Order: sequence, then structure tokens, then C-alpha cells
Amino acid sequence: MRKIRLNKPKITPSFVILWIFIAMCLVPLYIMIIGSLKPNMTLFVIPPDLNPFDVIIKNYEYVFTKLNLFQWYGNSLFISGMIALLTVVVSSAAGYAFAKKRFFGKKVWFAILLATMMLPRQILLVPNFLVAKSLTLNDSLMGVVLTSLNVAFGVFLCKQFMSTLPNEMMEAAQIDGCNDFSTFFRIVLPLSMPALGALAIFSFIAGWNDFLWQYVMLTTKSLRTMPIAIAFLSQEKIAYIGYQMAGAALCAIPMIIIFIIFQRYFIKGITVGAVKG
Amino acid sequence: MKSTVLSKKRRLKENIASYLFITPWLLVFGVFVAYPFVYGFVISLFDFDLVKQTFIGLENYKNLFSDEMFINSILATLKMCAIIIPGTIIFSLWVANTIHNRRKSLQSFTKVVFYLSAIVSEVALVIVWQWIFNPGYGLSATITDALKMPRIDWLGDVNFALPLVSYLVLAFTVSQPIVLYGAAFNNIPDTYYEAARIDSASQWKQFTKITLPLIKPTTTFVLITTTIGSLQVFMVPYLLTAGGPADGTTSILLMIFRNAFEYGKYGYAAAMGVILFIIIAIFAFFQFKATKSDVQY
Repeated sequence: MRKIRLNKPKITPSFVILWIFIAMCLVPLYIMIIGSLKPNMTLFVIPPDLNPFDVIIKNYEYVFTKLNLFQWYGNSLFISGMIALLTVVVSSAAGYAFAKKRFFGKKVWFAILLATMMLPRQILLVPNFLVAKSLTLNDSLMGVVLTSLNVAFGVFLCKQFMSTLPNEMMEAAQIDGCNDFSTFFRIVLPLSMPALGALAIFSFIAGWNDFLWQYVMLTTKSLRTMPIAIAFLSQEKIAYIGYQMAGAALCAIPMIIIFIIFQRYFIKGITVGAVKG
Repeated sequence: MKSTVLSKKRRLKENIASYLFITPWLLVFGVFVAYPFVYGFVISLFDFDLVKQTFIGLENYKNLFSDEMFINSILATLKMCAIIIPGTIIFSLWVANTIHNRRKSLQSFTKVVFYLSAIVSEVALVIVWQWIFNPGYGLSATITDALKMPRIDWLGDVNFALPLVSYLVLAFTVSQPIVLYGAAFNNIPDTYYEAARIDSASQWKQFTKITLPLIKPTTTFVLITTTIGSLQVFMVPYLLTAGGPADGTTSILLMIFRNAFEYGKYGYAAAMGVILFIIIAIFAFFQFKATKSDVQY
């Protein structure tokens, strides 16, 4: 149906204010990127030189050659990649059972799942750490992965998506001789790719940006991830703001690229995971 | 007779298969959620550090309520929540309303911009903010100089530091509500507004009488998730102000972190975790009760 609009949108005061807020969101990112491309001194003068056409790459040279950047990148990549992979594996399997199977205790388990979705994870900070320590999972990358799996949301998302797949398709597969597992791998998983993709990206970014848990778990210097490393860079309070900005930009840019490429998944993932309004 | 035996067998098979499918989730849930949850309550009753574990009953809780630092952190967290929660709701509702009915390209551009702050590591942004709000050389000093105002020590004065920390947390939390409200607005049939216009209802009346009631489920969701999130503020105060000035921005989670991982008082910190859980549960319960609508549209 064509939408009829009587009052045509025009430039209103709230529209102008919106653009001010948009600018306020973009200014820190601009400063991060341009500041990382400037000699250190330019950020100590008033007014600072933030001209984007006069830049140097000295800070990046330093960060790449003098700091263990590749190690930090590798650690972060491993942690977030494994979190994304395991979250998708665990969530899709459980999501399938909740969406399409009938089993004893399903309602109870699903209620528990919903309850844990709302459970604030951070209140478990201390007991989780002690449990991880007693399982000798602390100070290991794989330990961080296993203890960071926040699968309740993932299971719910997969369940919501898989419920929309037609049952006839699965029945046809069963008639053609598929058992539960081959139906899952050959029919359900391929059809659920949009939801699984969104879930993988969400978990990857959450794993990449997580600070507190990785900070608590990883004490060995060689195991530091990007956020921890750049936090130390800034807390050492050295006067090299250029290096700090370069580190921050290197932590932020991969996520910005992933976000821009997979933008559509995000909007979809957010609305599927929440309620219908 | 034979068929019921067969279906019984089939049902058993389906049960086994289903449990195999949910086993990985059950393991993660059991080991890293359910067990720590119970364990947290248990160790809150102990004088628990890495050397000794002595049962002391409710001693930790008794000490908590006479611990001025802890009371102070509750107050600081509530003050931040008082800014973050209404701020998030009003701001995201306002943005979604402003871009609604605008060009599609503008809608997605706005969502992308606000989402950028949420996907960029908070640690990375805190580094930039540290520079912006440095009274000696930051961008804020440039602006106050240009306005011929005295320079302000933003992060050194609690009257500025607390609202500032809250604003920066808010900047991370608004993106999801904006998208959710956008989707909720799109679900409202245009005919409602057409009818209202025929009755010559004002824009404001249309908003309060049609839009707001119809998006109530979204508001409930946003309200509860924002509350849960902002009661657990940690990263921005820890990195930007280190809980200062004079512990003015020390959140509850920051207190838990310090007691557990700096002083090694795990039992005491676990008791704080229990109190935080109770606070969150009370908030969520009353918000759910208050915003739940019996009316179905």
C-alpha cells in the first residue's frame, strides 16, 4: 500500500539537533584516526592540529615494530574467533532442539534459558573466576574462550529463527532417509545461515571488545589481547599520545570494517533477539 | 497396539536425540552459569581468600552495610543510572522519532553512526576521551578558551565527572534501542495516524496517544536491559577516572573488582555480587510490573 503523507518532512529544530549528536559521535573517531597520524606534539598545543591532509605514519611504524602488536592481534583474533565458532555450534544445536523437537522437560529448560538470558553476567565475576581457577582455565586463551561463552542469547536467537523453517522440509528429508543429525546438518544449518552469520558476528565483536573478563583472567604479558594492551599503553601515562591513538585505532578499525561489511546482519540480529513492538 | 509401541520407541529416540543436541548448552550453562551462581552465594558466607577459607556466616554482609565505601559505590551507581536509564530511553525514542518518515538513506546512516560507538572498543574510545577532557591540552580546553571561559577540570571535579562518565556510557547503550524503536514505529499501521489527522489531532497528541502506547513492549524491553546494563557499569569509570575523584564514580562492579582482584577478598566481593544481584532483581521486577500492559492491540 502506498503511504500517504500530508505533512512533508522538512528541516525542523530536532533535525538540526540530530546532526549535532551525529557529529558528537563521529568526532572521537575522527580524532582517534587523525591523531594517530600526527606527530606527538600537535596534540599538546591549543588549538590542536587536526588537519587531515598533513599526516605522518611514524606512530604506526613504532607500534608495529617496537610493540608486540602482532601477538596482541593474534590473541584477540584467537579468542574472538573461537568464541564466535563455539557460540554458533552450541547455540544452533540447542536452538534446533528447542525449535523442532519434542522432548521431556523442554518447557522447564526453555524457561531456564530465558532466565539466564536476563541474568547479569558480571555478578558472576568472582565465582566464575574461582571456578575457572579451580579448573586451571585462568591465564590461558582457551580458558577465556570457554568461560566467555554467553550462549543463552544465541540459543534463543537460533530457536526463534529455526521455528520459522517449514516442518514439511524436515519431514521430506526424513522420508528420504535422513536421521536427526543429517537433517540438522544438511537442511537446518544451511537454511539458518542468516541467523548464524549474525550470531557469529555479534559474538566475534563481543569477544574482541570484552575487557573486564580478559583483564581478570589473563595475567601473563604474552597473553594480552588488544583491549588490555592498549589500556596498559594508556595507563602507563607516557606522553606518547600518538602511540596510544594508533593502538586505539588498530583496535577499533577491524570492528568498523566488519560492521560496515555486515551492517545488514546487525539490524536483523538486534530485532530478532528482542521482542516484537 | 503395535503402533503405540512403535511411537513409544520413536519418542524415546527423539528424546535421546534432543538431549544430545542440547547437551553442549547444558554443559556451558551448568559449569559456567548455574554452578558459579550458587557458588557465589556460598563463598559470600566465607572469609575467602587464596590461603584460607573460614565459614563466618553473615559476617561479610554485616560488614558491607557498615562499609562506607560500599554504600558510596551504591549511591554513585544509582546516580549514574538516574542519568543513563532515562537518558537512553528519551534519547533513543527521540532519534527514532526524528528519523522516522525521513529518507531511507538518512535512517540507515543515523543508525550506522550511533552503532559505530557501540562496536568500537570502549577502551579505544576512552583513550580519545582522556585526551579530549584533559584540562591542560585537550579539545575541551581549546573550546573553553575559545569561549573565553575558565578551563574546567572535567575529570577532577565530581560534579562534572559523574555526568560525563554517564554520558559516555549512554553513548554506548543507545544504539540498540534506536534500532528497536525504529522497528517498532514501522509496525504501527499508517491508518491510525490518518484517522488522527482527520480528527485534527496535534503531532504531540498523536505521539502520546498512538505511538507511545503501541510501542510499550519495546519500552519494557529497553528499560529492563538498560537497567541491568547500567547497574553493572565498570569499564568507563575504571579506565577514565579510576573511580575518582574521591571515589565519586566508583561503581559497585568497580568495588567488586578491587576487593576481589586487588585486595584478594573474594568472599567479601562475592557478598557484594549478591547484593548487586538483589538490586538488579528488584529493579527489573518493578519495572516489569510497572510497564506491563494488560491491553492488547
